[in-house]
Amino acid sequence: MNRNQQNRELRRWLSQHRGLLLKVVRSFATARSDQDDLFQEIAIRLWESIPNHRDGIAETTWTYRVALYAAINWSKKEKRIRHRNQTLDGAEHLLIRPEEPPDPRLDWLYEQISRLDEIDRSLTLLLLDGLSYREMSETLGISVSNVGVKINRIKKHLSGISANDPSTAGKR
Amino acid sequence: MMNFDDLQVIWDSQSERTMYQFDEQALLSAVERRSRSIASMVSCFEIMMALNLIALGIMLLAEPVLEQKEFYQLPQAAMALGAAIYIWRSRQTRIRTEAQFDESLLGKLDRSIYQLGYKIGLSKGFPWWFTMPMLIGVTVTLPFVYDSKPIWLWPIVFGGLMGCYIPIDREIRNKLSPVKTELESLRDKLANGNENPKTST
Repeated sequence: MNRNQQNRELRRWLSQHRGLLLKVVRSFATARSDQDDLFQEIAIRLWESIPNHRDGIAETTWTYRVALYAAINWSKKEKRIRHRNQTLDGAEHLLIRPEEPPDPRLDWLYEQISRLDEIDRSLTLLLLDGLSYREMSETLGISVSNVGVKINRIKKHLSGISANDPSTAGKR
Repeated sequence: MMNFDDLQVIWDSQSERTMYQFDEQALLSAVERRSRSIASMVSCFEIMMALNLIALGIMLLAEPVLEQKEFYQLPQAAMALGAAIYIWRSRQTRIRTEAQFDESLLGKLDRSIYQLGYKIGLSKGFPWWFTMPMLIGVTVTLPFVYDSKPIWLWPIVFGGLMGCYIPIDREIRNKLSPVKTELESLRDKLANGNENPKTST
């Protein structure tokens, strides 16, 4: 595969799996500059992985694998950085926020997801995006039964948080 | 109180209108720029060290082989070329081993842990496969080159070579080992952990 083909494939993957990638970005980064940086990192890892993608693996599964791994690595790297370039107000960002006013419930949900550790965060994203246990197992490389146990705990945890968090009162 | 199904409804409310947009052309330009500099740091290190050691070995061999003199350079030449062969064989082993990990998240974590362990091992071995051979070479060479002087050169050279290890040791302790430990913890959690979800630190 030459570079032009790889670039074309990347465009197609970015277009088809845009929602998935943006959800991963929002779950692993909160500041705008961090979200831009993480999105670039994921795009680069995706580009690198394209020649290795095998036909037997669904693109969604493949994209999740790459994006989650890139996000986990990025979050480990970012924790150690003390000084970062701060984007000046008004400077252009790669990611453009929608004009619609944000949904506070959705913001709350992303905040709760971002507070989980990286593994539970990854599982939560897969769960909320409706992947089957088998697909989650293929993405993560663990057994289906292991997926089931972890998912049950995460569901209880998130439901428990929503019961105890006063900020969700009235958010039905 | 919201149950998980309520949270699922909130999640599913995300739509094209409410999601972030991105500048595709700017993103692709960024990928182009950064991809040109993508080469594993470890791979660069291996190749550069091997080439430097081969060049050093050839330089040290030149006079003994071509001019039949300065034979005291032979041991150091042998050590430099031996170290180059060691690095190259380690590299081949590393590439073969990395190809065996699968592409799942667990496989990628295992590969990262292996790569970090390899880099730490290569760095920790630096005094043995680089510094020590150079030191032995200098020790052998000094009496021939500086027979009237400077034995005091030896501790300066020794200090300089050992000093190369200080930043390496700092990188291992402050960056590589902590990251490896964190990834191992994540890996264990993914493969085995069944404790209740925790918030990240």
